[in-house]
Amino acid sequence: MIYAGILAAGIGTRMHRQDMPKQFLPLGEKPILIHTLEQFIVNQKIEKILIIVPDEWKLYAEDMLLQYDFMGKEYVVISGGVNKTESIGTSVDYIDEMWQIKENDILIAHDAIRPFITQRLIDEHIETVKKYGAANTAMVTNDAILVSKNGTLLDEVPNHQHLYAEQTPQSYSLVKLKEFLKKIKDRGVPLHNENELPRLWLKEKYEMRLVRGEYFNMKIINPYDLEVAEALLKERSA
Amino acid sequence: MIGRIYRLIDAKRIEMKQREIKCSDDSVLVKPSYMAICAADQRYYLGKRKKEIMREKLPMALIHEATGTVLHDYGGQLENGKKVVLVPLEAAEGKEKANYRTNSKFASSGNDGFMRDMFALPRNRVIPVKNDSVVYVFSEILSVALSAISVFESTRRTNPNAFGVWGDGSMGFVMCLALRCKYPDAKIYSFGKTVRKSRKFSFVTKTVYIDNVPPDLVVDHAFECVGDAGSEIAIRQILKLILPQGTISLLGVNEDAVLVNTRKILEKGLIIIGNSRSDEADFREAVKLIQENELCKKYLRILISEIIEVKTEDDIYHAFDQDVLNDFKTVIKWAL
Repeated sequence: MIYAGILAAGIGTRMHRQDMPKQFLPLGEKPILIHTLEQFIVNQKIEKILIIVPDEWKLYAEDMLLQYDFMGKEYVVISGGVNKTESIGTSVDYIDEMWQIKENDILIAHDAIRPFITQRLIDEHIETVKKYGAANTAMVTNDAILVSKNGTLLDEVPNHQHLYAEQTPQSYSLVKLKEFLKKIKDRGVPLHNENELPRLWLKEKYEMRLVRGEYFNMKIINPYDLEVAEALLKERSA
Repeated sequence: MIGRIYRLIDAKRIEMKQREIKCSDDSVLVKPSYMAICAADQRYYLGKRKKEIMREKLPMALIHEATGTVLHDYGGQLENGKKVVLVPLEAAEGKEKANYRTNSKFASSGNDGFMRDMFALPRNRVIPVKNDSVVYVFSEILSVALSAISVFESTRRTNPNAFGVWGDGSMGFVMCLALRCKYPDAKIYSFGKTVRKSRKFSFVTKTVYIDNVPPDLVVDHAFECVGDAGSEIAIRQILKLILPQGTISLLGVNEDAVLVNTRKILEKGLIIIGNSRSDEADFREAVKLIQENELCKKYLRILISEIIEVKTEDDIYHAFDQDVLNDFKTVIKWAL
C-alpha cells in the first residue's frame, strides 16, 4: 500500500495578511492544499491519502475538503504534531493502528504548501523507496550557503558543490520508518525537538537516497511566494 | 489541477509553463505515455518552417502522435489507468470530412500538441486500447494511411492490382503496410533511394530503387509519401510509371511549390487526391487494425528506430536531436 501524507499542520504565521493557515489560502481559484492534493489524487499508485492538519483547523479542513472531487480516492484528516517530524510520526501511528503496516508499504510525505509537485517526482519517489527504503528531494542551490552561529559573524563557507536545498516529498518504507521511530522513542529522543527527520534518520545509520527536485517545486510561505505562485499560474488555461 | 506544458518558443528552444487545467463533465484527464516525433514536429523544432509561420504558430507544444493513461474520466465512463490513443484533431462543425473543415484545429499545428505532463481532452478524442503496447503510438500515422486508402477506394476507376508507394521513410513504410493489410493479394512496390531504409520493407512485393527501375514495371495506382524537395522527382516518376485512369494519392508535405507535368495527367486521365491528417473514424479503424491484425502490430514494431525516455527538459532536446539521425521513428517514453 502506498500512502501519501500531506503535511498541512503548519499555522503559517509568516502570511501576515490572512488569519488562517497558508495551506487554506487560495492560489488561483482553489486553496493551496487542494492544488497539492490533486496531484496525489490523480496518481494511480497512491492508494490512500492522509491529510495532517492543525487540531484546531481539523473541522474546517474536513468541511472544505467535502467541496472537492477526490475521484473516489480514500482520504482521512488527522491532527498533526508541532512540527513536520512529529506529524510524520503521528501519521505512522495512525496507519499502523488503522490498517497495520505491512512489508511493502510506503509513506510519501509532502508539504501541503508545495502545490507544484509533479507526477515525475511522486513516481520517482515510489521507485526509489522500493529500491532503497527512503528518499528525500534535493535541488542544487543557486546561492552559496554561509554558516554563521550568531547571525553576524561568518563561521564557514561550505563547498557549494556538495550543497543541495531540501524540498519534499520525503518518502519512507513504512516498516523501516516504524522501526526507526520505535528506536528513538525507546531512547527517549523527543520528536518535537527535531524539525528535520532525515537528520535523525542519518544519525541512526539509515540510508536515504536523493531524488532530483524542481526549482518550481516551491514552498509558499510568505506573501511574496504567493504572488510568485499566482504569477506562475497566470498562463492561459488548458 | 496544475499541469505543465512544454512549448517550442523558437527553433530548438523549449519552455515549460504551469497552468490550471480546466475540466468539465465531458473531459478525460490523461497523462501521456508514449509520443512519436513526426517530420512536421521536426520542421518546427529545427526552424525549417517559414519565418512568418514560426512567428504565427509559436509558442506551441509539439507532438500529435501519442498514447496516454486515463487519470480520471469526469463522466465516469473510462476507468482510471485505462490506456488510450490520443486524437489530435479538434473537429469543427461542418459537412466535409472533419480533417478538412476550415475551422478544425490540430494538435502541434496551430493548437498546442501533447507535450505536457497531463491534460484534459473531450471523451471523443481518447480511444481506449487493450494494453500499454508501444505500437499504438503509431495509430495516428496509420490512420492517415487508412484515410488515404478510404478516399482512394471511393475515387478509383481501375482495379487495385498493383500499387506503387514512393518514399522510404516512416510514412512510406506505414502506407505500404496499410496497403498490405487491406489488399493482401495486390502487388505493392516500394520506391526508395536508400538501401538500408528499404531493407525494412520486407512485406512488400518488391523494393525498387528510384534510379534503377525495371523497364517493364508499371503500377495501377500510386501513393506519394516523399515530401520536401524529393516530391517533384517522385511525382515525375509516378507520371511515367502509372497506367491510364490511375489514381495518385499525395501524402508528402512540401514547404515549396513543385512542378507537375499536367500534360501527362491529361494524357493518362489521372486522378490526383490530396491527403492530410485523419479524423476520429480513421483513428478508430487504425486502432482496430492494430488490435486485430497481429502482423500489422509486429511490422509496426520495427518502425521504431529508438525509444528515448524523457525525464527532464534536456531529454526533450536530446530526443529531437537524436531523431534527426534516425531513419525511422523516434519514440519518446514520457516520464515528465
